[in-house]
Amino acid sequence: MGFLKRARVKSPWILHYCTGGCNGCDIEILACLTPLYDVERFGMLNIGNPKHADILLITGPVNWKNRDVLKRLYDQTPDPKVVVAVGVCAATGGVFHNCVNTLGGVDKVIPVDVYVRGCAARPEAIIDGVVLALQKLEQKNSGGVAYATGTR
Amino acid sequence: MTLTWSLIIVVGALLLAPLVGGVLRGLDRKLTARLQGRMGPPLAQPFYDFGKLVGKSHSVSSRASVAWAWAYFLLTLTAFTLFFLGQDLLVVFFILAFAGGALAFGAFSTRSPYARLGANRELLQMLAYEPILLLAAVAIYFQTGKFTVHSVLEAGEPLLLYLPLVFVAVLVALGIKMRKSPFDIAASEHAHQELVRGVYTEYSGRHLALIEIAHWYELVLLLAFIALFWAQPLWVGVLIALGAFFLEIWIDNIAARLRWSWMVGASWGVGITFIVANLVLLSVLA
Amino acid sequence: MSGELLVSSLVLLPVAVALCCLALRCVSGQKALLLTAMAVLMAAAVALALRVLSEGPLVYSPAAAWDNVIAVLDYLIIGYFLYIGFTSRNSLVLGFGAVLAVLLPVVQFGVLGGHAVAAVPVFHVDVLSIIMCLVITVVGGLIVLYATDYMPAHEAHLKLERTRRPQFFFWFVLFLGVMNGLVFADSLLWLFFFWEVTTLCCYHLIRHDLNEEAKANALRALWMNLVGSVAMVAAIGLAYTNVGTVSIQELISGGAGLVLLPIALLCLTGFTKAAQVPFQSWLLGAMVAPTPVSALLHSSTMVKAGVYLVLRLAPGYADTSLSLLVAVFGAFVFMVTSLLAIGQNISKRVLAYSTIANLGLIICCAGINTDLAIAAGIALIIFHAVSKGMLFMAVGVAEQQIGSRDIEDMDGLAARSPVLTIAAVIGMLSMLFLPFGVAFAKWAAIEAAGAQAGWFIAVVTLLAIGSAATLVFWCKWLGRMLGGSAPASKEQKPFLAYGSVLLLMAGAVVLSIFVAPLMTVLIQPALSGMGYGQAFDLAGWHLSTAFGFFPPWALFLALAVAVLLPALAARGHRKELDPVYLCGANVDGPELRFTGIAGEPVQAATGGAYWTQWFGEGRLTPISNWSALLLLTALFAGVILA
Repeated sequence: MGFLKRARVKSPWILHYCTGGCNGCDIEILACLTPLYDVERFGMLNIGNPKHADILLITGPVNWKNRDVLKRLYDQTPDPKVVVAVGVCAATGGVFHNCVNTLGGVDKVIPVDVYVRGCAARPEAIIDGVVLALQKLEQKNSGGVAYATGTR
Repeated sequence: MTLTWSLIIVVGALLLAPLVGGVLRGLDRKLTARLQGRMGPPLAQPFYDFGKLVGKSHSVSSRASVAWAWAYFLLTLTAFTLFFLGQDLLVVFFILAFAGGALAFGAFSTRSPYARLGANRELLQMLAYEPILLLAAVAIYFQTGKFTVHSVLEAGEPLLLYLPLVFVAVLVALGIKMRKSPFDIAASEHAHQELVRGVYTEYSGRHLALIEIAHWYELVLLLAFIALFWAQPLWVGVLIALGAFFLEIWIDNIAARLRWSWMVGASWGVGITFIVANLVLLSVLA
Repeated sequence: MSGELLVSSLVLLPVAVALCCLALRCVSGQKALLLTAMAVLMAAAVALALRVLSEGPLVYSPAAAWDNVIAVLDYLIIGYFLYIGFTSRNSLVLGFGAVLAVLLPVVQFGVLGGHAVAAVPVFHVDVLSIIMCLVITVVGGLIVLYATDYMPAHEAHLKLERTRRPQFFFWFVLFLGVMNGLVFADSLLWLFFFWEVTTLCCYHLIRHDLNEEAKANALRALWMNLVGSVAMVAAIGLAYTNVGTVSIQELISGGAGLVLLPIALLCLTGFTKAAQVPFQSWLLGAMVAPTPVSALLHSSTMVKAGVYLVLRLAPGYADTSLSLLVAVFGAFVFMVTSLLAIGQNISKRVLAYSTIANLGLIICCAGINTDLAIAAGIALIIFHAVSKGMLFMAVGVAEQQIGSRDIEDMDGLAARSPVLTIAAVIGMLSMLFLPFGVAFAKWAAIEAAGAQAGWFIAVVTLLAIGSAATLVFWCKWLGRMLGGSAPASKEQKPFLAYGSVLLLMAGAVVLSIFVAPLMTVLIQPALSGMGYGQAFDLAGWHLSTAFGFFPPWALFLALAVAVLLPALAARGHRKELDPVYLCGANVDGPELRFTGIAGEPVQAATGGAYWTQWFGEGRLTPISNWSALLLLTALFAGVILA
């Protein structure tokens, strides 16, 4: 069982979904895949299929049209999974806060495990957030949820 | 070759192949990363992927596709066992074709548009490489007098000296079966997408792990077939097979994915004409 | 029961039953009569088989008066064809009919002198004949029973006021007797008579529905088969001139160079009957006929008469350039029709092209002309007849259930008609993959061709490409039938129709598992009867040759574990099914829908792929026809100039 748990952390596959922001955070997420930041060294792959994904990287403030899509993508991702809200828009609505067409953040629709701040969130912060998410992933299905030290 | 020895070899191959296949896949990803100027995942990454998939809960959108995934895995194992028992190569390739068909049926039995389109393209891939494999088996008969793997191991001289063009054609078939650019028409390797995930779209969790391990067996089987081209001594053949493997990885990183018509045209144009030319030369010069 | 009586009854009993069918109108009466008749025929065929297997070939000539009856009937039939040509204003039918009307008396009275026939035995029933007879009576019998359920539904669908079933069953059952006579015949003149009657039955059965399309296609079938008849009459004349006999057995044991031209002409006759390229359009057009016709005539039996003739003549042209060209021709047809089948979306046309391809493969086996190849050819006749007959029947039932012949409309058939789909899936797998019989024969053919080396490299290449092409069109059709959600209504299962389908399906599987005993009991004796040696060493019920090895039952065991076990296990999996990935835009509900423009639900549907710009008839048929004509020219040039 130890190997399976370790494998879960060592092989996180990402589903990246943008819910309608300015795409700045999306560009930074894609930058993480480039040789400069190279998240594949953590075993991460950008998988486009929720059925294969472990980590949902969501950007954007969520609007009325894609809140159902976001919910369905979350439902279609098998357990165990973690959700990382990247960028200020995904956390609180950011620059679109209180706009009539947005819901004001990903956690209005699905439960979020990690918030990555920034506008746009920098690749180093995104990687930091994903590593934190991996620690949470390790905790899931065993009843407890722990916060890593150093987060606010 | 006595029965006990054959059984030992087969059981050993069956147990070792996933390890070898996984390590080869890990080397694949590491090398690809290095060629792209990145660090790349650890060598054991495919095993972590496999472990993660086994431990995940799975979503099933069609019961029939689960049955076909098992059929794909078990039929690949059958072909693998037949090969390592030294059996008839044509029978091995026909059973492999059945396995490929099972993978396509699994995708067809879901209602996913991505899976179905991927399955159609999978069939086109089979159209491209199947003649090459069948003709390669015939070429081996020309040289050794039998269609069996056994006869290659017992032959006096290495096949590559007499069948060099056939070897090149088999490399083309290897590229298609390994789903490497420019031939990743149906479903690509992990880092790339094609029709979302093509034939694998509706699989998840342990069923995806099953397909993954079937791919490892298939990879080892194909590389073992390439190793047959220099069976005297066999370690040279293994080195040649590894060389072919790395050649495919290198080609993958410099080539782009093209249309299916190009794939069929190139594999028939290069593959079939090379094998026929080789056979004609053998008949004429022998 | 004496052998002669069995032979006569196998030919004449269907004629009597056919005449009775003309009188019967009610469905249950027809079913009762035909059920009894088919059972009697099957029993007679088995009895004859046992007699021939134990005591050797049966040579039998009925009273000399029958020769005159046959001669008169020949001219009546030719006259009838001329009448058809005249009334339909079809110049091709008229032209070839006229040639035949002139050529036959020239040959019969001028060349043969009217008396040569008496010296030749009429029937020579050896193991190859009884294999064909078993295929005709068993597979044909089941198809006749299937038709008794199919035709009433067919007529209800067409809203006919007055049933035409009597005429249908008359020609249908008459055909069985004539086919039996054809495979028993040794005298070329009697063969010619039976050949003509099959053409006659085919003409009437294709035009049965009496619409414009049916009539036009019946005429096309008629003139193309008449081409073959002309070739046969010319062959008879040449055979008598060169060798002095009209007996097939004497013709093939001759071995002299002069015997090759009549044999080549007879092969051409076989090619036209088997709808080989460039004559394939009549078989494709014949698909407008009711499905039992397609199942019986155009896959299991009548077209097999063509390849039976080529196979029967094989010892006569062994080790000649004719043999090589026959092999190349057969392999070429196999490749090109398999590629053409990829671009077809009408189910019966796919089956038609596949039939032509397999017939080409049998012809190729005859051309390769070694023990292994002939064994493969005979095995292929048996396995193809069973599997293809079954598939045609299954497609007919499906057509009546969904109201369409298009593969596109068969999407989700698995949910609507599970029993039928399982039967069809097993049928298609039996046509395509090892260890089933058809693929086994293909394996043997490739090995036999490879073993010949030399020019046979071309044959192997064509076979390899054709084999890959068969994968594509079968798999995508099979895939199209899978998937789908639970149906609204329960599956209707008419007893005789489903019974025939399931029996043949079981037959295909059982025969494939027991291919080794089949070899021992039927095929190897047929081979030795034709003068060939042992094709396989059958120790342990494995089939091994000097250079290859095929373990049928071991592979079936592996198949049972690999495919059957997971299928059974999946059925017990009563889990709630998850939705398909549609980019998160799924609309809840049993149908597959997604949210489209303006939030409206849109039905998600995936079409099949046919790639017609590459595999369509428009692109491939002209090239194929011209290449085939070139091959045929080379074939005859090789014979004439050699």
